[in-house]
Amino acid sequence: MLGKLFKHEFKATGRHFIIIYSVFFLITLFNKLFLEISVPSNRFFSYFQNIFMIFYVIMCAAIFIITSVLVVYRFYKNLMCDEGYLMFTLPVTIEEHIIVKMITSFVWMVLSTITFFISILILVSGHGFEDTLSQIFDLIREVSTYFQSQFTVFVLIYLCILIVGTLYNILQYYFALSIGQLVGKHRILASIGAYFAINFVIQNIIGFLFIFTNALNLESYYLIDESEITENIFEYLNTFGLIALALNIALAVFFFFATKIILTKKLNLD
Amino acid sequence: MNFILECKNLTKKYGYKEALSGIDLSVEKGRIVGLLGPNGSGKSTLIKLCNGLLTPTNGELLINNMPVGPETKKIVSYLPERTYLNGWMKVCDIIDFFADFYENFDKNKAYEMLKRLNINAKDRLKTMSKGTKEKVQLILVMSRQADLYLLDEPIGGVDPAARDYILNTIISNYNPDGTIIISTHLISDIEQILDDIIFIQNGTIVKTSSVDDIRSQEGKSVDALFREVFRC
Repeated sequence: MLGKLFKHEFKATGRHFIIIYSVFFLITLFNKLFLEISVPSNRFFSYFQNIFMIFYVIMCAAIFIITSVLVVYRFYKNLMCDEGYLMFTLPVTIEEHIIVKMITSFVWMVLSTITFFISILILVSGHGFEDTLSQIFDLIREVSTYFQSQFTVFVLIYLCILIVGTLYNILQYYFALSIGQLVGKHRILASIGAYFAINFVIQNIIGFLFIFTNALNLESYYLIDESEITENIFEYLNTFGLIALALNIALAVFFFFATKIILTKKLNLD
Repeated sequence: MNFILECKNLTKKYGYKEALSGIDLSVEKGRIVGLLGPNGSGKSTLIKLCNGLLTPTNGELLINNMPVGPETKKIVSYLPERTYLNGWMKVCDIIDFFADFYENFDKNKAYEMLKRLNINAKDRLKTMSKGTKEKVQLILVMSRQADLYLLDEPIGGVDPAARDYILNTIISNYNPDGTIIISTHLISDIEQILDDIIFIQNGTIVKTSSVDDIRSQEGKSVDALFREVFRC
């Protein structure tokens, strides 16, 4: 059943993303073309060049915003509106629904990011960019040989944070939407309110946790001299990363089960 | 006795408001049952509990001796009072969707019924009128070989001519071992196909009986009895 759910989820969401990615690539190529053709001292031409560049920058931001909006919209439309009458009477569990939607959304978020980076690469390729890139890689290689395993652990931890953080974000949307649907009318407004309320509560909880447990052990930074900090920079970063990762996982798990319980016990299709 | 549906002290509250108050009910297999009651009597709530869209506040609900879950959803075919079809799919897409998720879905039967109703399987659902969408939905629901069909107001939104066709579709296409529960307040239209009736009001069962008993003992039609029981 999970496979079939995935199949239909990708089919339903993919039709939007294919268009978005195609448009984005077209704009990228157009910009690249405008950048490569240099018509010196033509005010009219450079005017258009600027317009297209501005449009491109807007598109770059838009691709991430649109991805998030579609993730939210899909969950809302498919599960909280009329279509919910079909989805929730399919012989699948609510956990399966949430997992499939979450992973599909995750894949689209990753693909949007990849699309963004490929587009940037296309735009800046040539013009000595390759040298800059190899310089960056050299730097990374140097750092990793100096700090050795600490650096590897660092990369792993922050990669995990990136993945879990994205899932956490998606699940926060879902949790906010399931709270919002509890309200009979103005569900969208209630969901947005719930989203910011969740943010507020979590920030406060984390703030208090850090103050009371002294998790970062901030005083210790003043006691040691600077060279020691440089030596152990990744040790500090890794400790901090592990705490952040643990918090992210805990909250993501909480969002998941809270959403599941609300949709099981308090589903309120209008 | 083997029951397809059993409720024991089934209660559903929305906040403080009680939509169903401690219902005890059992429905036999292979019957066509009318779930009849005025607006807001708890018909839809009962049906939504049976298909898992709602969870009981109290009491027990068994479908084929199982609590409501993915296993019972396999054998329950549900027609909601509204259209749940999305606009972007074609009719053939939604048929594939049903065939993917329900093992008891009969594709050939669905296409046969579409053809008889002159609905083009390549049409997008967005382009269809509300009535046509309702017909498509009914075809999807009745193309399943289900053990329990839950039809919530199946004839509410269509004209009387289409009404006859729909009732005909219902009785001629359902799995003969299956049970149909039809909720409606248009009693005279469906009276001739019912085996049993359940009268429901203010969240309690007022009367359950077979249609034959009503006719022989009370000497009335179901419609007349309904008007009498629920007189305002």
